[in-house]
Amino acid sequence: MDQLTDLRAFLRNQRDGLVALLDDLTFEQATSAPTASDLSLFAIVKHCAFVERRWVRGAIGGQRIPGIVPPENRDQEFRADPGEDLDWLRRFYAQVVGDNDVVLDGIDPDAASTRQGMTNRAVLLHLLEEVSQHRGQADIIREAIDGRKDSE
Amino acid sequence: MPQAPFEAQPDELTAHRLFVRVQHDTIRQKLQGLTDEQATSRPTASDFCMLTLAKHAAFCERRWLRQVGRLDMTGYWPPRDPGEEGRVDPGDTVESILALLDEVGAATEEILSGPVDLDAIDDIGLNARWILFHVIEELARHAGHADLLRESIDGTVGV
Repeated sequence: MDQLTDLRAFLRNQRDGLVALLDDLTFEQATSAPTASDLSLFAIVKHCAFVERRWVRGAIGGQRIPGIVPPENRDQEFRADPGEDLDWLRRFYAQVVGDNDVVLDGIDPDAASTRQGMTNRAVLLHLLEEVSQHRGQADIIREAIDGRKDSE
Repeated sequence: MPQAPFEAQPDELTAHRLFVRVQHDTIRQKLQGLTDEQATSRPTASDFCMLTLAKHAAFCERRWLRQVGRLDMTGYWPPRDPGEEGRVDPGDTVESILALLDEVGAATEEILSGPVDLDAIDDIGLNARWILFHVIEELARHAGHADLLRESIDGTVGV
């Protein structure tokens, strides 16, 4: 087991917990912004998928993806475009994770990423903190929508 | 949005120390500048107020880092008074909780200045690497709670 196995498991756990906050909601609920923040659950989950894709394929994989790495339009990360429903969002995130896994399998944690000053490990630590922080925001939004608490 | 620490990370332990500090500092900044009345208000559907959120985060960081440092856990885990960290006690103010955060943050820096064996399994069956991943995710998630609490209190966004 390499040192990144645990880190990737922590990231997966936070991501799964975040995506599960969409469970049992309608599209209207998931795209509503019921707190003082502009954020909806849909926006947070879609943004996190974009963030994970950008960092893993860009900073670790060294790939350039037209319009995505580097990003052209960050607004699209925070809105539901035509045709994007909750099933689409779950499929999209799963696809991002699958593509990222191909990049991450077998990497050296201590190797430099293409992001200056950051090792591959640091990129994954950053994703753990970013997804966890967005999950915290999402906790508050979900509780505002229907009172559901995720007390894990 | 969370900011990755772009300081150099010459080794794994340094990376952990920097990421824990970023999250610790985020929570501190979300508490700082509030009045005691604002910090004890419950502006969202959540039971958390900023004061108890920051207090709970400080208690979590302190007990997990003591475990990393192999320090005496008596009174820290299991906690002497399990309700304490979720409660506004007499004497708890923005100032006192900021001071608690500073004390805990200084202890964290000292413990993570090492040496720490990240692979060694401790008396509860965990290694320090696992604990530090957990501390980062837990502080970050609470920082996310703090984001929306603070925005609900006075409109402050970001750090």
